[in-house]
Amino acid sequence: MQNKLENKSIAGYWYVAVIGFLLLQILLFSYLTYHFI
Amino acid sequence: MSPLDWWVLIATLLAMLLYGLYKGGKKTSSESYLLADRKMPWYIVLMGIMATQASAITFISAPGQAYSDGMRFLQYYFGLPLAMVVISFSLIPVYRRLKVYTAYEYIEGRFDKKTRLLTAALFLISRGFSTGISIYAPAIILSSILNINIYFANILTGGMLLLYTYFGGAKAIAHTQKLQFILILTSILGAGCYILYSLPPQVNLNNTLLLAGKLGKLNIITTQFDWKDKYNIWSGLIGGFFLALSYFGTDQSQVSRYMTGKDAYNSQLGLMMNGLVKIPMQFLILMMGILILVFFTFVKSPISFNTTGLQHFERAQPLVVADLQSQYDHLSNHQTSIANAVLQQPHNEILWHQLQENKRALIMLHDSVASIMLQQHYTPDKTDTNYIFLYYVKNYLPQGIVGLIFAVIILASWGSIAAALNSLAASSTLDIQLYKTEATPKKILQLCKLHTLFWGLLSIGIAMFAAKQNSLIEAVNILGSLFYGTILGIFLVALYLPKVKGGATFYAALATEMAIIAIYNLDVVSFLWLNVIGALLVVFLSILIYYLPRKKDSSAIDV
Repeated sequence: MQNKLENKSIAGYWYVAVIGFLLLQILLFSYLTYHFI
Repeated sequence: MSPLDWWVLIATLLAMLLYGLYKGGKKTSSESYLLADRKMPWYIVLMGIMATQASAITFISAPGQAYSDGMRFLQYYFGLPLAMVVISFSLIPVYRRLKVYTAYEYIEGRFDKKTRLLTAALFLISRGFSTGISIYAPAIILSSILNINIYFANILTGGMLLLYTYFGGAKAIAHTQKLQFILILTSILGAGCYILYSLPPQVNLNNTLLLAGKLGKLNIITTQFDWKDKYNIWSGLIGGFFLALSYFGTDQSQVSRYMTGKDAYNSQLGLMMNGLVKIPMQFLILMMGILILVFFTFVKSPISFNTTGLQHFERAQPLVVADLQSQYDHLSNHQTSIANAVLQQPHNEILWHQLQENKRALIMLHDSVASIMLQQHYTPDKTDTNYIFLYYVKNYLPQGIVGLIFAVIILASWGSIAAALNSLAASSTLDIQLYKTEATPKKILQLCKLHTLFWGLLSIGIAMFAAKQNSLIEAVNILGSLFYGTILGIFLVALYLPKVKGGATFYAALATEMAIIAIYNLDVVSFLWLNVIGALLVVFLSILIYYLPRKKDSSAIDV
């Protein structure tokens, strides 16, 4: 439990989660940018 | 400010100071003083990381930047989340395994002493200067509100936090940052809701976004590529990634925050959560600027938000100011009436066009006043961007809240300055003074405390002479970008090029730093790209220097 994030296999899930969340935000920001012009 | 605001301001600052001194306790070892005994859970690590990055500059400049330049500054943070994951799985395991106090200890283990010295020196120069600027930022606020000398204000803001940083070390910093961050978050949300509530009844959130969008301020995503453009999605994703990698991975002020985590799991989780919440938080801060912009579309704004500078101008040339103000008032009234009309007919393109033209005229007049004030020395500031948010807070928020917001701005500054002083002391003690000699933990503790005092006083000194820039937030970022790329490059070579040795990296870093300063002076690229160029140049040059002589050797053997 303590050092489970040191396990490299967990890294993949975090990459997907963080990149996915970033893409979602960029999508939302693109909507705000281009919808309200 | 009202007496109530004064009481709130003083009570909040004193309470934080006492809390820091109480939580800091008595320090008996250098590990306790520098890394809070490595016992912090992930959420304190997270709040420490965020409070270290969010200085007073963030609050003063960011809403003003959204007000005048729009939301595109947000893109600067787009590279950050990915950098958090990379650091969590590449650097944190290394730092934890080696049990280092400073990030630069790892460089010595991997390369040699001289490369550690160089990396630490680059950090000390950039962080030392930017800490001075971070003290200067809240000092402007205090000097303008309290009507006190700017030099005295510098000593006040730098001096008070020095007390708990000096006595309490990392533990005091971690616990005060936790409270500071909760106060910061509550205040942002509270202030945002109040601005929204204070807009005229016909303006809802949809209208606010529509007005901001039509006035060109909702430019969150800008896809046009230009090397000299500061904020677009490309510089944000690529340049921002390299900057975040360098700042969070190799800047001791951040490394020491997550090294306080009780194990690798808590350090990593704190850092990755930062990757998830940073952009939404920055979005909220920038949105305050947008809400203030919409507010001043319906309420008359001053010709300059820098009221002290404007007073000097008015005293010297009353007729000129009266004439400019009447022109500005005329345009402002016109702006309000067009905005009211356009909200009733949102599909009327002619009205939108009139609103945009009128806004352009208002900006031109506003900018010309700023340049007159600068040229005739009524103010040293090129623009009044840094005064916009403060003007709104001072004049429109309810009594008591004004004092609290000002206290929060000063506390935000304390959070980042305290962390910076602690990390500067750690690095200058362990990486510079003690790099050749061994010392007892008690001696290291004594030296760290002395170094904290030294850096505190030096930063106050730098704040006294801080050159005023167009926007303070940019000044700090530009300064960081001159050194961060090189530091990151050294760490990239250390991590990913195991064959390359210290000598090659050292000379590659020196050459890169000179090249970066030259490129900055030539002004051919925006500052965010300097991080990318710096990091890649160190990697490229170190490979070149390392492999060139080896090729000659092998050819000699062949012969």
